[in-house]
Amino acid sequence: MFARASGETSGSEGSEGDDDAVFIERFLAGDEGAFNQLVLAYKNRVFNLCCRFLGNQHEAEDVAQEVFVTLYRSLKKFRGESSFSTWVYRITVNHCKNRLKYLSRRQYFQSSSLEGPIETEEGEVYPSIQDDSPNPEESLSRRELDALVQEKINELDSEHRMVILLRDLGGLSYQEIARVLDLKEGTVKSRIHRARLELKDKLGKESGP
Amino acid sequence: MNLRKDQRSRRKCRKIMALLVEFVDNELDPERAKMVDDHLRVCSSCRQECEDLKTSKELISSLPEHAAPADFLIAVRRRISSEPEGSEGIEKAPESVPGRFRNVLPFLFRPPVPQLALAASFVLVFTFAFMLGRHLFPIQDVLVASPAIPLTASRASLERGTDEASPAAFHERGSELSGGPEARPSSFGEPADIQPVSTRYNLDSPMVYPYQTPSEFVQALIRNDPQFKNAEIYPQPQGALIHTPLHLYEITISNTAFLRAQRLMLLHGTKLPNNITQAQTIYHLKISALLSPLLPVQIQNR
Repeated sequence: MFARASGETSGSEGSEGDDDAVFIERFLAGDEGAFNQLVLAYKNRVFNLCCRFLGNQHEAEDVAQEVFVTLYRSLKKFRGESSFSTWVYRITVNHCKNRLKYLSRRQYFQSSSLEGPIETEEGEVYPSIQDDSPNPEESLSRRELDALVQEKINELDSEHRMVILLRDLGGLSYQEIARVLDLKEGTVKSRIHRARLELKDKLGKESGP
Repeated sequence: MNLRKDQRSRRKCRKIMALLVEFVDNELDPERAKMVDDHLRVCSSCRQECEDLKTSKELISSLPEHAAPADFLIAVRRRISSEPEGSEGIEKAPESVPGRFRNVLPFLFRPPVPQLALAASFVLVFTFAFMLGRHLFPIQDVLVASPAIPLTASRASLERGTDEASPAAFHERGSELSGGPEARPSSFGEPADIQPVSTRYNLDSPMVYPYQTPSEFVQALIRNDPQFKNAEIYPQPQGALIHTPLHLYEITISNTAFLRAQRLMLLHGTKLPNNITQAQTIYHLKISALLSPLLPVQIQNR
């Protein structure tokens, strides 16, 4: 009944896909526990992507939960044409983009950041660099740098944000990203190119004179 | 001549630029990687662009991972069981509480902090509700505490004889503790069992029922089991969820089984077994492994 250990860590692509197929089959046959295994296998990836895309942990938690509720309800519609992980990412992307649109309409991000302001002697400030160093990472502590990178990710438009996160955070191949976002592989590569340059450009401005 | 050289070099740069992402990601075959590498040695602008791409990639890749909260699965399960099907559509407006309030609040004022807005709206709503409530329903002087399961109901169902189990060894030990073979029922299903109990005990005394609800009882059983010493316990209406780093169990007891358990405790004392498997057999618990690679206890009711 309990065939294997919990899938908290992702294994190799192939065996992971096989596991997913087994869990899906069991779930569709009425085994509720199999769905829990799927949640466990994907919860960190989905939550992390939501966190970085939305830049806010509370919203990310809510959206990540929505993703799995959607998965639960629509798993019977899963045809297996693409891999299950692609499908999970696709649902996550849709939920994230919708939430971002919703929040943007309410100008939510003016006062919110994932890492939050940094406390200094002068009070709370959002991290920025004030020196002339060409490399921002040289003049900031790790935590400050992460907060700064997140802040700049938040400034990217949603297409650039998603493509760069799927690649550099999720570790998806160009082909997988193309499937998730319904794009051509060439478009994915050029979008990654532009998104990375834009991010570097925004970070570079912070370190300007 | 120079113009042509410039054009050629720009074409080359464009060709290299198109490969830079894959070069940075180590996705190029060795031949093309060498071609890019050779070009980067001689072209500073392409080299700079390559460095920029690499920096961005490294900065994002090294961001710390946000792990989902420990109770994430439980939260998902709760939403699945509480939200009606079709309410989670992808195109639907977000469900988060702050979101909902932000929907309304811009018409009133623009809050400096979303949390403040939420708090303010709660205060407004509750104040209004309280005032309306005071007006419509004057406060009652008497508060009636009612047990979770009415005693009349429990007597009725006990007399119906709703249980079907045969007593296990634990009961027998219990019956010895509580006073001799005459207290030990020959069959749990017969009304005759009840008569001596109701005459000997005051059934309305809370001392007789140490656990007033199925949830309290199940939680007590879990706490009694050393293997769940450090587990997180989440109370549920009919029992509790146990969350350990690797396992999530739901342990529940039906109302019928709980009434029977109360009667067993009346007859044989309130000493609980310190093993959930034993308790499962005795009290007819339902144990579901919501997630479990391997259960350390044997599951029978699954």
